[in-house]
Amino acid sequence: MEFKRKPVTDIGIDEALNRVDEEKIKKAIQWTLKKEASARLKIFVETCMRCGMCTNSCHHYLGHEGDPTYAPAAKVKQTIWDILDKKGNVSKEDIKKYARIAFSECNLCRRCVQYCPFGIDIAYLISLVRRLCCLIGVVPQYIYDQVLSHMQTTNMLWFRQDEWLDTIQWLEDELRAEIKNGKIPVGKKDAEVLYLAHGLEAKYMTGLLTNMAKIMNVAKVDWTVPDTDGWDYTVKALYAQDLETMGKVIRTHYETALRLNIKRIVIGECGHAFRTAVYEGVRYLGWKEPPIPYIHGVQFFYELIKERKIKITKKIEEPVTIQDPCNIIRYRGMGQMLRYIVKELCENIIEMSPKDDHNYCCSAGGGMIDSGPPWKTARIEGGKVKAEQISDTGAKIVIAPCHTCHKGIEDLNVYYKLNVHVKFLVDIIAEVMEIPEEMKP
Amino acid sequence: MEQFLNDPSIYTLVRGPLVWLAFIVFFVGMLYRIFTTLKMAKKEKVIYPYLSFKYTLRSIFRWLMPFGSISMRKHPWFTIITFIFHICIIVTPIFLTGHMELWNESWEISWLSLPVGLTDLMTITVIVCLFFIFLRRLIQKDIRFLTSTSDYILLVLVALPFITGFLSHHELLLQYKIMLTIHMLSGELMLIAIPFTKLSHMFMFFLTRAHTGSEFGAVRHSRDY
Amino acid sequence: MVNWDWDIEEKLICDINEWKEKFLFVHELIVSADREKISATVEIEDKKVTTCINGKIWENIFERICFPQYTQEGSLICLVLQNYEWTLAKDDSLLEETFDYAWNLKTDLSGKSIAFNIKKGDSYGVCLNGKIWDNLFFDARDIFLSPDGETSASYVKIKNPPLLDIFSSKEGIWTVGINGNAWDKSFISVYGLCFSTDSKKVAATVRLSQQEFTVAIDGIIWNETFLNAWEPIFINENDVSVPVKTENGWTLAINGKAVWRSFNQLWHQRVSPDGRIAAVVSTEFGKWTIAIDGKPWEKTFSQNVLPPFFSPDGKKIGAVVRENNLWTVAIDGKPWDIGFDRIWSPQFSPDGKHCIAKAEKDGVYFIVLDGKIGKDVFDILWEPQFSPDGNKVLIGCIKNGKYLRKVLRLNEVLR
Ligand code: SF4
Ligand code: SF4
Repeated sequence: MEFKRKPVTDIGIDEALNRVDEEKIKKAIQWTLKKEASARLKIFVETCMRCGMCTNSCHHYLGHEGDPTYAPAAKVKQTIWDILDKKGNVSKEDIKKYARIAFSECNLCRRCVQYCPFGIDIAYLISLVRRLCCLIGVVPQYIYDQVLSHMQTTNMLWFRQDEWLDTIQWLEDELRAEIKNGKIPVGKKDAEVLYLAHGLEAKYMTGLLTNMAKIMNVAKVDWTVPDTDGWDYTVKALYAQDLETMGKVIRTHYETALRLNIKRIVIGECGHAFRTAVYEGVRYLGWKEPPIPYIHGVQFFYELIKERKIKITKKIEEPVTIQDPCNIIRYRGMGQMLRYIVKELCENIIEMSPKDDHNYCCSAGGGMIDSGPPWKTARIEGGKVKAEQISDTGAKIVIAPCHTCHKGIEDLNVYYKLNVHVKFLVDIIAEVMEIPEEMKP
Repeated sequence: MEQFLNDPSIYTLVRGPLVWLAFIVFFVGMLYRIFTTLKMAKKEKVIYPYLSFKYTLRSIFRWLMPFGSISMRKHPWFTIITFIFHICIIVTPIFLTGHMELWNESWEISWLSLPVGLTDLMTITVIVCLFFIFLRRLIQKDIRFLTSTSDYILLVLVALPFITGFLSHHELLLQYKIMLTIHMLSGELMLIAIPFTKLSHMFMFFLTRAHTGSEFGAVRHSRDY
Repeated sequence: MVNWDWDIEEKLICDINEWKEKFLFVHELIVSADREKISATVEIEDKKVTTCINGKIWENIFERICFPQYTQEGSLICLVLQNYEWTLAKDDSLLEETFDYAWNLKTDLSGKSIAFNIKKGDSYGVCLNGKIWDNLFFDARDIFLSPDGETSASYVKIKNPPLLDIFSSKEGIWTVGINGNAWDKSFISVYGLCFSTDSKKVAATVRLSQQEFTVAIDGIIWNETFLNAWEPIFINENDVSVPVKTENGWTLAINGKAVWRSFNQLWHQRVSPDGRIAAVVSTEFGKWTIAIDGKPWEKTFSQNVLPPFFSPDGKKIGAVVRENNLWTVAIDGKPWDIGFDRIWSPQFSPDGKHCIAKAEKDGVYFIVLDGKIGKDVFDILWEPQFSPDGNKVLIGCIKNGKYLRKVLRLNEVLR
């Protein structure tokens, strides 16, 4: 069986390859596989029994059933094993293939790891492939653009500092239409909570930020957002495996909180940022765990609802289903918290199968959606099983507490005609929570 | 060839020093592999700090229990075959009456031995299982894609001692002594191969499961099974 | 500090409760360094705000007030929006110049120089003491002032490739702008800008490629590059130290040469008054401490260690550390034996014998002196400060809604 794919052009890969020499490729391979990787690479490669237990676990394989080149172990075979077999003497064509597999056929969701008798961490091995691509300078254009922005501005979308401050100010003005004396404190020292936002919340999805502000005000949380760079919690460098930038961004987040003497960082509904902030990022920097608590939106809402800091007045009646984002469920076991919240908000919940930490990835995660338009088809094809899962529930609303899942499922919704609405928890909560009389303008 | 194998000095060699050699290489090789792996893991920094005894045990327990993981439940046939296969392949040589006699003879140690009929059956089971595994490798597309020649060689390597053991016991095909020599040789070969081939998964299993089990259980609060 | 009032033991400055009745909304409270003044942005009507100092409000009314702060001399400065234009307000008088946007307000140590980032049309830069840089840029981020207050600097964008033009961006579009003049070379990323102690030189870490980081001083880069690097500092008028990553780990480099052993991590290097260098290091994965001239404290902390601080003679070194989810202070490697939910900028007494800090536990604030909790608890407390002779401690605090300025004798703090 051959590796057959429709041609896709991405200047971040094709054009970048034109600009590098073979020497650089060799060096990057040496560095990644000899210097950075060691025991895990060796053991995982040597212990894989090629048993195929992992094959069916991967949504990409299920989306291309019968094509063995999409199976998890096969992706390792066609990349890492290939490099090792060729003793690092690989061609530019090879790199192109590796990049395609690593960036557009694996979401690093780690579902396959649950299926392997040896617990072989395929996502780790695919990350190594991305890392060496990154060192060569071969990264999908859309990801790389965001990473370049992160390098200097810390945010993902080249936002200037005044743009962020200005956005917060007009959002606050809007908030006042709904909440009396509503406030989005900026750079407030000694607050309990530092809220970081998704880059897009400052530009295209400002409604999310307003709703979060509404909840913070109603729940009377002592909160603030940064008045400096570091307000954007996204870390697209994770996708590119640009560890240097990833470390810098994560460090900026924590140092911003420490400078303002904040008790804990709260972020919205985002998977990769959470994962980077509690695993990859802190580990790269040398912390065993986050130096101060780093709380995901799901954990935060769970707390607010459980402690009755906000009251839910009416529940959503339409049938809903729950998307379990890999980066907070399989990576942090928030499944039960998420279900507690959804039960408080909705009458009629129909679960997907499988669910919780066994759920399938949305096929947009791990940078696939960030790879942009050239790779959309890959993501839609990989999302076939997710689309089936959703349509099997018959739900009208999919609650997806992750920016990537959210957008990914929205695209699946259109393509597979699922007829659902994809919603964030923050939007639902802002819709169904009680705003006390005295807080109304 | 037959002449050669029939030579009593060959038999003595295979029966004596080579057994020693095989066991020494097996044990030393295994310890060496484990040691170097643990040392390498230290270099990675992020392995040891996260190891959890509790979740290592949970992980190993789940994966040594038939149908203990979702993966096994999704692959019932393969699970049944591999469990029977692994049990037989470990139990048969250790508790075989014939082996027991040899051990007793050489080292004066012995333990419970299984009835000959049973071990015979188990030997056949191993061979049959191996055949299924071979077929699966050959037929199932995704596995064939992963397979390289070395995987087939390994299957043969594992099958040989069992096939020859069975044949020699039943004095089939070749003269008993010759078959026995081949049997011992192939057994020794397999033992020696374990630490240096994918067969090392028999002990690497515990190391990778410790890492992945701890990461999933203690750090990610989710299941690795 | 010397001419501050160190005699009056307790002064009621004003009742904040009254403010809350008088105004629609009272924003965050801030206090002057001598604790004589307390102020807040207050809302008179919706979108009409002003500054209230010790109960008296300014005459000027604004749509917004941002970055309010006291200078060392006790003036209140802030960036304000009035009639849809931004400008600087200092003690109720406004700068004539207005801007499309103004942010990142900063003063030098003396408090005489004031600088902030500005936007005019589509151009970005800095306004220093009322004067806008001669050259403006595609973007300007963050503001830095030299110790003498004469020079302002910012990270500036000198090329503006279209979105998604990764190859142009990769060639480097950022550099340092100083008083409106950008360095010739541009980089993928530039950070950690700092001035030499004599205000004459500027250094910053620059990123040349994926794994090539180095330091640029006045636009000239070192010959040596490193796998990664954090923020540099000048250790005197000429020499620059910077944490760098080599194949063996992180170490401290001075003028391009690694001078310390390798650590798992290293950052926040600081020069003590007696000329030693102390930095936060991770001796091994998950273990943090302070290293002085490359030698780490024996005691390590599992969660975090903040930048070191020094006694005035430089003999003692302290750091805020975190362990078991609690913060405390460690001095010369010995942590206090109580922990807190939070702790604020600890400070040594002038003779270095004592260390005082503000701390919080279970929602109340108190003073901590040498690891012992002070007798009083406060609703709000600002960082306590030692008198020049070290015998007294000045605090500003709020109790029952009243802002008090107190001078405590050292031996009164605990008892
Ligand atoms: S399940 Fe594990 S051992 Fe089997 S092929 Fe997949 S990665 Fe290899
Ligand atoms: S997408 Fe997920 S299941 Fe598929 S190979 Fe990657 S990590 Fe494994």
